[in-house]
Amino acid sequence: MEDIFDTLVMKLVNTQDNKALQEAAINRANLFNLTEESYLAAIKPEHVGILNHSQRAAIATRICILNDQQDAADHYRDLITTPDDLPMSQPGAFPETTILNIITKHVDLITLSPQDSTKETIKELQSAGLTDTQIVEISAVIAFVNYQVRVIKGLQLIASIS
Amino acid sequence: MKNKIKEFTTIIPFWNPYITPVQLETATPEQLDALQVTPSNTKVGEYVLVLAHDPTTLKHRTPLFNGIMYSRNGLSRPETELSAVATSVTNRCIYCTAVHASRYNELTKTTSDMENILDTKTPEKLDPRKLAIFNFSKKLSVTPPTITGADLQSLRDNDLQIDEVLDIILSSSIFAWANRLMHPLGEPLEHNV
Repeated sequence: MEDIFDTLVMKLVNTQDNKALQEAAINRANLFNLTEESYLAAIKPEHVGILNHSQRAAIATRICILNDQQDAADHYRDLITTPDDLPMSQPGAFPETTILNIITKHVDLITLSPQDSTKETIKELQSAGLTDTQIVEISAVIAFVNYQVRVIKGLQLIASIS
Repeated sequence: MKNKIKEFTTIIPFWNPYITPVQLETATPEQLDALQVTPSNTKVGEYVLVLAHDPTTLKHRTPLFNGIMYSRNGLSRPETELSAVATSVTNRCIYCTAVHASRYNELTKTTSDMENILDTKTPEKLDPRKLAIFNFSKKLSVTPPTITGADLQSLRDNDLQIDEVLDIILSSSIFAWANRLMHPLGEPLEHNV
């Protein structure tokens, strides 16, 4: 188990002047460590599957910007190693490669309005050639970052006020 | 043929995946490890079997989810469920809402709060503390989140301590995750009568 203040979430939240928040976080150390493990699994997995590390970082950057979370977006942007992946990181921009274009549109849909996703949405991904495993891999990245970015937002709010 | 459920309910639906679940008989050792399948525990739900297509993330997701929902101390169990429901309603995840609304009703031995949220769409009838939790969770759930200092202050004015606020953030956020898997990857159906 690592020091929770070395986890990505806590690095992006300035808890220095907030003893109550520090103590609350320490009491939930196992959850911050599991959040860190989940981050590594979603963004830097050993088996990359359909999305390489740079593409995962680009998607995460995009989700953080859509959620108006600049600190996390800056972190993820630094992990993009291929310039071709930059359009995936910028809301409003889309990659030219067909499959990455489709994936990026799916990132926007599930981040902005998950309720609008239907059976047809998944059918379209399947028709584009994505396997069930690849669809779950993509879904896992989108869903995780939407969790992580909200934990950061919530903790930053506490740290900024109380 | 089972009918799709389109309105919120506290009766837990049948979840029908759009993705073919991993079959336990052909699962890889990594998938079995992530599923935490043991010889004495071979009953695994379809939802988790769908997520097992990506065992790397599933492995940590399950203990994280359970840790957030069932940890001792901090926010009470019913209030943790309330935050989960607020997020699931916001994301219109009918399955997640049903599971956690019914759990809230079981824990509190009441039905009026969930009726106010799900049936009559009048969450403002919740008592002030519950309403503060509901509103904070809802505002954290939209994209981008709209929580402000006033929303935090509302929690604090209703005697919620910082450790409890942290638990609200974790509960709401884990459903930002769960809803984005449960709703897009399958549909809630009525059980056969």
